[in-house]
Amino acid sequence: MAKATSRGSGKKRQVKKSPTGIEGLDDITGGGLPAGRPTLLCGGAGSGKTLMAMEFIVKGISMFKENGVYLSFEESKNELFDNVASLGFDMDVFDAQQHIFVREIDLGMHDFVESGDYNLDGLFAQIEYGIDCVGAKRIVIDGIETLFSHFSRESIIRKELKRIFRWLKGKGVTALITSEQGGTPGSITRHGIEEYISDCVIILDHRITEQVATRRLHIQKYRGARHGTNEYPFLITDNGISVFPITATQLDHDASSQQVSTGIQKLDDMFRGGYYKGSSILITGTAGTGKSSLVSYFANAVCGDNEKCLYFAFEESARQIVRNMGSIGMDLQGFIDKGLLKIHAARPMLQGLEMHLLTMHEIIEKEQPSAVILDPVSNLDSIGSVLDVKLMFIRVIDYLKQNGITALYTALTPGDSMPEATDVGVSSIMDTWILLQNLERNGQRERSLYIMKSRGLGHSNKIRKFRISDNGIDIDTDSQSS
Amino acid sequence: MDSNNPDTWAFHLFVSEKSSDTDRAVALLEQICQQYLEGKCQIKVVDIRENPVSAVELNIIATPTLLKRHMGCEKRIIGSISDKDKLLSRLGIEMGG
Repeated sequence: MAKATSRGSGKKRQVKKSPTGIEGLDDITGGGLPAGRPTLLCGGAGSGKTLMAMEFIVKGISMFKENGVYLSFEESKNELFDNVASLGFDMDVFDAQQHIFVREIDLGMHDFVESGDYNLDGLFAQIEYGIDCVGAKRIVIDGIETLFSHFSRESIIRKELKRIFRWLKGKGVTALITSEQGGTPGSITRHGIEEYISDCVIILDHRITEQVATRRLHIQKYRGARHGTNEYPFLITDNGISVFPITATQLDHDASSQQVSTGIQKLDDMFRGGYYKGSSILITGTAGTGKSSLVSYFANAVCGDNEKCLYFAFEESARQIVRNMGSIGMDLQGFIDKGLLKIHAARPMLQGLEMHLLTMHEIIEKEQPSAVILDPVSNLDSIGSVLDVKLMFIRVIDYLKQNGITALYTALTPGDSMPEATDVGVSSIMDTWILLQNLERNGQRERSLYIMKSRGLGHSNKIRKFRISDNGIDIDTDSQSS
Repeated sequence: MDSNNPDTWAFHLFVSEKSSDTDRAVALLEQICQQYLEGKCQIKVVDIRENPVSAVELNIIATPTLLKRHMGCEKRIIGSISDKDKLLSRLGIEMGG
């Protein structure tokens, strides 16, 4: 739980949170939505509002034993139930057991004219009836702004909305109010209802850049509580919504002091023992500097210790990798046959960023490897903006670290740019960074290797020449290039 | 819930709390009923606070709502009712007599 900031001498009361049960969202919000208060969930059409709202209710029932009311101004009960059925929730059972009260309010169904003054006590009565019916602790009001298009007296609707939200607060139910985004400059929602919901505002966004869709979430406001302020990518998976907190995965990974072999004796020596187990290692270099060879050596060493290694190849097929490594004397096929080495080759272009991340997650979860290789990560930027890739990448790194999986990432440095530059700009979050270069000297190409950084490891700071031959990689013991 | 005779004018007034406004609206409806509808009316006041199920069943959002049924047609008039002529025109009743 996030701690509320305390100002002055008086201790500020901590906002009580109601966990959503939505993966990642509770991390960002420091425990969930403000309990007993309304939260505004805002986003454009197709941004995932309804699904998130539904999941909030469903998880409330299944995980926290809190019943819920779902008031929908847009979708029918059947549509809503069908939507979440795909996530594996049988709403009919919840409905039959009176855990959920779903009310569809179709304002267009009845022909009506407005005469004099009115209020929305009818709506109040319906909500209250639902809450009492199931003893609801949570409520979703989905699309309440449609009231504005059916009733002409805007001032009355505004007054009544204000009254509803205040009344809900008094009832102590945690409310999630969804609203269509945009339209009016200077306001988040089309009708500015954020004015009446001041405790927490969550914004969902669904963008398509270069034909690839990315979903994002951010907390615009959370009164009295610390919250993540970034934009977080999220996925709609088979299990519902999954938000990827970037900084919420606190820096509390167990830092292992155990070292694992790089697969190359002389490189081990340079690190005085090898990579740290569970650390993140970045290998960068221009084309043809031997990045894939270096990671394959590592894969070879991991499997040689009878441990599982997962190799995500974004440029070459599994067969190409096996063949190439065979040519320098490494038998990867043997490990594949034993089930120790799994090579997953996929063109990043084929899937959107979110699907990509999801697929990797699923495979890693399933295989439970000791080491993971991503070769190269620079290829991922073809499926999203630099920022998107970085966000996704940090999430992967965090995830692997938390699970104590040693991870090697390669990145291609464009030939003409600084050797220290990586496309995805993630070198700062890496524990170890190895730089490979091709230098031309005396009419010959010379490969060189340099350990740019290695957190917590004593390491050689020399630039070493190395060769790749039929017998594999051979690093010069003590050469120093100019 | 209304009379089976489609010729009957059924007026159901949904309110959230009976007030002097309610009494005035009922009196007006009774007057219209006698004057224009040959007394073929059923007038009923429903307090949705006492009877929230009716609000759910009939999807009452605003109060007061006057729900009129006649010859299988339904019409809703939302808001306070105080003007007879206005009400007649909203109900679609010819002011012949």
